[in-house]
Amino acid sequence: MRHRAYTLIELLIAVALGMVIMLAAVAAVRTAAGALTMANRIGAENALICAGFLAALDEIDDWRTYDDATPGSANLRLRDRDAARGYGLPFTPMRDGWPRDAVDAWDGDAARWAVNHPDGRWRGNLAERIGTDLRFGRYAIFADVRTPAMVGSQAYGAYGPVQPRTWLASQVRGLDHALGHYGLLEYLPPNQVLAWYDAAPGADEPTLQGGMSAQWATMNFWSDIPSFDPYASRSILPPAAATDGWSTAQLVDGHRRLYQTGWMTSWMPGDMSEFLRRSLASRPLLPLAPSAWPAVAIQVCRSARLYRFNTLCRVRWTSPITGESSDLAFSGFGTTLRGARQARGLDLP
Amino acid sequence: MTRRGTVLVVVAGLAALLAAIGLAFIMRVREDSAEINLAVREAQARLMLMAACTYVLESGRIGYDVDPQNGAAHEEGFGWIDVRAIAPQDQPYRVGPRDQDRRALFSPAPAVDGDGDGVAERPAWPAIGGVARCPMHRLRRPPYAIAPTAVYNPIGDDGLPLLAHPDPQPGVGATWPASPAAPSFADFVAGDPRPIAGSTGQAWFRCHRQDEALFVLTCGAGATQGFASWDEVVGAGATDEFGGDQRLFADVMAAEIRRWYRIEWSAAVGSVYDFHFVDNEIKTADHYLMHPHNATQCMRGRSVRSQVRRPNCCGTIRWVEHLETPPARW
Repeated sequence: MRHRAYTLIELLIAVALGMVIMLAAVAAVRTAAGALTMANRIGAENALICAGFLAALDEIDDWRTYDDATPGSANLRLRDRDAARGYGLPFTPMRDGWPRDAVDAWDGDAARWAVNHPDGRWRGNLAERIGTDLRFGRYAIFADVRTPAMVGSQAYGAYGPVQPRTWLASQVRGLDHALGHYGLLEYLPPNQVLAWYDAAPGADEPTLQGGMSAQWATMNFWSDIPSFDPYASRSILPPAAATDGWSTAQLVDGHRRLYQTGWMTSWMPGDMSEFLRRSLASRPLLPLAPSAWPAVAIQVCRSARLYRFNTLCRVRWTSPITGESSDLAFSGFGTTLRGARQARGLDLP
Repeated sequence: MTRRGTVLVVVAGLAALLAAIGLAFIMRVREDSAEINLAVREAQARLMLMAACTYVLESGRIGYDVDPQNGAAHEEGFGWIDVRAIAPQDQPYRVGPRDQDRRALFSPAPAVDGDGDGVAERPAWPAIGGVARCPMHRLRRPPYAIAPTAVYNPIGDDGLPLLAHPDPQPGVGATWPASPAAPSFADFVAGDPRPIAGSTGQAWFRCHRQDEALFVLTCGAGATQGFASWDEVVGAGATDEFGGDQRLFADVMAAEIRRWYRIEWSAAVGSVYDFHFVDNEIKTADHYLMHPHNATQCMRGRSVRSQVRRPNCCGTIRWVEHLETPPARW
């Protein structure tokens, strides 16, 4: 049988079909390779987001962004103390931050803080902050932060000895001095009155006529706790670019003010942005990661607002290709400031 | 024939290539899913911290079904440190929870075998040293469940609700029975404790009362149901829960996430901002005009102080401390 040769048309068709097949094969391989690359990139991104989420959960408990005693990366800035004024920061050891002239030391005994313990009762005139004519008495005589005062007048002489009730006032004043407002709010029971009596105040601690401390009203107008606006925020200032280079005195003041983050924002424009700039801790998940990997940052903001302690976490990642940022934000519940301090042994006498 | 074979080989090769790549993609997605599962379980364990704190808050006040002293049902408690123990002569009644007659709703006598040796060595919850183990599966119908109906009594044309129907209504049966002695009421009380499939083995917590107001909370995401060890499973007579297989329990425990916390309870409620209201609302008035804590008779448009604004009636958690390593007793 004679072998029939290919015609030119058959050959052209065969070549064309072959090219189509090859093109399809190349396109398929390229698409598949691209898909694989994208899958790997998305996989790596997911893994980093997941790691960032877990790191944020850990941050809720270990407070490492705020206070880290790890050798080599020690960050102990919030343990400083303003010696000149006698004020501490949220992680200042209690023995250092507690007022030197306090008659009572810090007392964390749950039994003594129990609501049925007489020492925890507020003794005083709550309305006194706005002025008093002492018609209800001068509670500073016995509810003083120091030893019982010998208060009197030339006409009537001294009152004489009184039953000392210095414990509660000492605790409130001591916590205010040692930790700042966030710590004060957290350490005290939620029904505690944020005031104390001081019959013999120092130059930096003015009192009103009855002996009630006017400390908050004079240190910073917006840090007047009794006139508290619940929509405002009081935060802990972590190491951040906005506070980089601050002196201890500036940090002390920064932990004793509030930021208008609610309805009064319009009265205090810029407070919200200042609050975020100063209060949002941010650290990279992997500082030495390859540049082709997404940049993942863990951000935490701890503040007291609306009668609650808020721990806002955010995992933010940025695409190395498009530069697009996305984030996952959530609020967390875990170790409190006091718990973190106890874990570090900062409340020991 | 050769040409056809070539085409077939090429097409088959391409198909195999695409299938392999697709499979690799699916496997990668599966791996990602497994990694995310770790985060889910971690978050689930931490959710248990909130559940455990809530349990501590409520279980000191809401009380217990059986009073070991007199057998009465569901005695109300007065907190982990009894708020009525003020005078020195009251101090023997200091540790709660106690009922209205100050009888203890707990017994310090050893009642629980926690190490499987057949001898009870720790008291039952809620005594100091006791442990409450709480697997957190969903029940088909919890005890005392009410129906999820939001509006039983629609607003009439005159703007008033027609109070024709009791609100709320029980979660079982058409309406409330005429008498608590009716069988449907017993059904309402008992609920349907069968777990919903798929909700078991996910998460649990357990509370160890370390001291009067100190608790060690263990939060877990896994299927051990909160048993600390196989010995405890044996002591509780719960080996059937794991098919009597100690290795199964060990496997389940190894795959589990556990977190330990120490917390302190306080009976204090209210807010530090009460002073704000005193200052802003009462001004120069005498201090005895202050609202009582549970006041609902607020001045219109002025006070935000009302019963619904109270944080809770069960106390507060004063602090939470994460424990890096498991404590000796939990």
